[in-house]
Amino acid sequence: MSYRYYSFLTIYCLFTFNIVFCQKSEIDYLQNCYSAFCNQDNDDFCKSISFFLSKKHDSSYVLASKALNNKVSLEEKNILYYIIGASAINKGMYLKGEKVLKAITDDFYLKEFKELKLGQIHLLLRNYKTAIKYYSKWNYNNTEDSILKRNVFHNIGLCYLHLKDYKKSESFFEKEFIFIKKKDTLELISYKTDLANVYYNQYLDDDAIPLFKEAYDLAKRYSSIELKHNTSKNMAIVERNRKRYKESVAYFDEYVKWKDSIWNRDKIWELTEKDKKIAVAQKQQEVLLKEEELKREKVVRNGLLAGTSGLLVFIAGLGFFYKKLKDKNKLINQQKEALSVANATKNYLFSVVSHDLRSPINSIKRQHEQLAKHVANKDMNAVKEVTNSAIAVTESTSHLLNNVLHWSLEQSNQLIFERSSYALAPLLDQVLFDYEDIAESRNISISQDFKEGLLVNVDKESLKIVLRNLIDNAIKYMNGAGSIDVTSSKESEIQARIEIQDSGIGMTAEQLAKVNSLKDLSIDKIDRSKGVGLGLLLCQTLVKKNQGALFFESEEGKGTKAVILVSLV
Amino acid sequence: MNNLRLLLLEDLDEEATALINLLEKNSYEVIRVINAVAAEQELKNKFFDIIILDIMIDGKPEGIALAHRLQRQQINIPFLFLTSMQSKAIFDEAKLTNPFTYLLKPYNKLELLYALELAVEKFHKQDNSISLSSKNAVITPSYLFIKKKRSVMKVDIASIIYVEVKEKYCKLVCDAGDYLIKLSLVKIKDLIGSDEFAQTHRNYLVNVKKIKEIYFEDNLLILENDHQVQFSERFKNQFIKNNPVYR
Repeated sequence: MSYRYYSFLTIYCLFTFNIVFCQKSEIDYLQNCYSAFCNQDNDDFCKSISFFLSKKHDSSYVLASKALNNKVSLEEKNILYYIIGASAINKGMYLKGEKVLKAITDDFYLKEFKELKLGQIHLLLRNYKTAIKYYSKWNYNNTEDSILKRNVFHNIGLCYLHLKDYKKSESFFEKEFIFIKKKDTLELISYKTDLANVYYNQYLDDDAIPLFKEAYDLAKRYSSIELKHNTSKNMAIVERNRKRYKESVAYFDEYVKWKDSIWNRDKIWELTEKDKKIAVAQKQQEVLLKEEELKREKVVRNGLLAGTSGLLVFIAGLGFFYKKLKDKNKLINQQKEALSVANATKNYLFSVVSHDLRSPINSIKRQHEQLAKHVANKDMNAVKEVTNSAIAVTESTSHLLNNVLHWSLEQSNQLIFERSSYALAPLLDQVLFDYEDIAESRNISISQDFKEGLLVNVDKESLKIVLRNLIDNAIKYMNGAGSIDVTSSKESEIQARIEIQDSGIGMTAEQLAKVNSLKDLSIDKIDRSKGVGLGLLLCQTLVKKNQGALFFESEEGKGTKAVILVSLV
Repeated sequence: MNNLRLLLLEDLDEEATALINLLEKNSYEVIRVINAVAAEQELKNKFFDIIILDIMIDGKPEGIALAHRLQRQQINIPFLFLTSMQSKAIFDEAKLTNPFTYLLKPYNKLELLYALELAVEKFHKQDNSISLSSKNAVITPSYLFIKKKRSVMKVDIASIIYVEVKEKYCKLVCDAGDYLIKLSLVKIKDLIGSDEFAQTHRNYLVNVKKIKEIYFEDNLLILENDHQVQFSERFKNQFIKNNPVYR
């Protein structure tokens, strides 16, 4: 039994080669067919050929069967039969293969392959006699193809070996040997093993054992593990049969070793597959890890973003509070300045009250005492005189008081100030009306020449205060009789001009310069001792507030001209 | 030409007398009352052109209360306050009644008279007319307010002979003289009604009753005081249609 067993193994091994050689020439032919019949891989016929060429035997078998149902030419039919047969053999469906291959007509180009295939089928089905018939037929028809021929001789040899016709078997192996190239160790080993089998089965141990040994030695130098495995196994069995157990065990160990390595090789392949799978799993793990990392990065980034925006908001808040604080400080500074101005005003007003008010009140008091004396003496002329001077003092004092009142109201922003459009002439008219009596009593003539129809944009009351102050001054600095001319005219398209010209004592150039410089003066810079009056300061302030201008022209001894410019509507 | 009738609410005789003197001297017809009840009585009986209100009457701010009542009853007469009350509280309260002005005693006579002028022209929404120039007038549906020296007089609208467009003004030619009005001819026509006045030309509005002769062929109208006014074709046809008497 054991002989059968290893013989079968060797047969199987060689048989594989057989298929390979067969395919080589058939592939050439089928490729030609493919390029001749098929433009694209669209119909089943072409598909089946292309599947067969790429050794997908399942698909090629199914598709070729399907293609047979279509209308096909004889040649195509033969090709399809061949494909089905070859695929069937490959899949182990030998009977089906035989049936199909037998249907191939004799004019087919691959006719010889048909016989080879049929031989192969019968060999595999162990119908050795039938196989020998097909191979012999093929051998009779073909003389030249050495590789195929060698295989055929080999297979015939095998058949005879199985039929125990050792003589014929030996002769075919010898024939095979003629075709084997000396350097082809693989074929040499198989040839020697086969021959050894032939001898061994005839119990010609002396001829067989050296051949086994030879095959074993050759295999040792050759790379194929399968051969080493087979030859060492053969040697182990041979030695055991010779009862040389020690050697047998040694060969057997070797056999096991080779078996292990075959197993290992297969295992390695499995392992690499497994490794691959593990690597893929690892890669996937890594990808997951990366994804996780990305997610974490995203979270970190979001966190950073939130943190940054939070920080920004915080900074903005800080900035806001800082600005608020700064504004507060600014406000405090402004208030401080306003306070110091108010304080200066207060001081100024105190000095006015103490200096400018005390003396007239004192003189009024004195005048009243005199008046009492004159009344007691019934000196009516003196009474009249004193009364007149008392009225004058009272008037100027009341005038001063009005200025102080207006000034303090203006400085504390309590003066009602409302600019609006007014006709200028009636305003001037009203102011001058109040002076009619005074002027007459002092021999001063007031003339007026107003341009009608001028509409000015002013605060009425403040303009009146300015006009009264200027006319008061004109009267005050009039030396005896004189005249005051009040005129109004159009200065430009946007301004009206009011002139108050008196024939008084006028001002020196120095005084004029000082008076004209008042518009740039603020209260805290006024030097009381230099005698700058409150009246003019008030005038300048109020005119400026009305967005107008006030200036003086004067010549000593000839009189003064005050000019006010105010905006027209 | 008529004087303006003025209602004066003033409890102090001395001040009232001085005021009445001033106003009557300036051609105002003054009716003085000493309290709000009497004032309302007078307002029911007579027509007034303007009112001057003192605020404190017998120690109570009756002037303001009266002003409020007038406002509520929609008695549309221009009024102003003349008071010695300087308190800001009172001033603010008085301001709520929409007076034409708020004058303080002691008053400047000219200012008072000027305030009356302003009140009249502001009341008829023709600001800066009579207050600006004595050539101007304020026109109302029944009267023409004109300035005469420092006073305001009213002229019956019927005394207008014709109205003529003069640049951006309109010239009113009356028996008493010529006045300028700061309104368009169309506005004036709307204001004084079309019964007594007829437009004869793009630039002329004629008082129908003042027409003496018409020369349709010459497109000419002869009015009272020998004023001559033109006819234009467009307005002639309209005129003939509206005044068949003259056909």
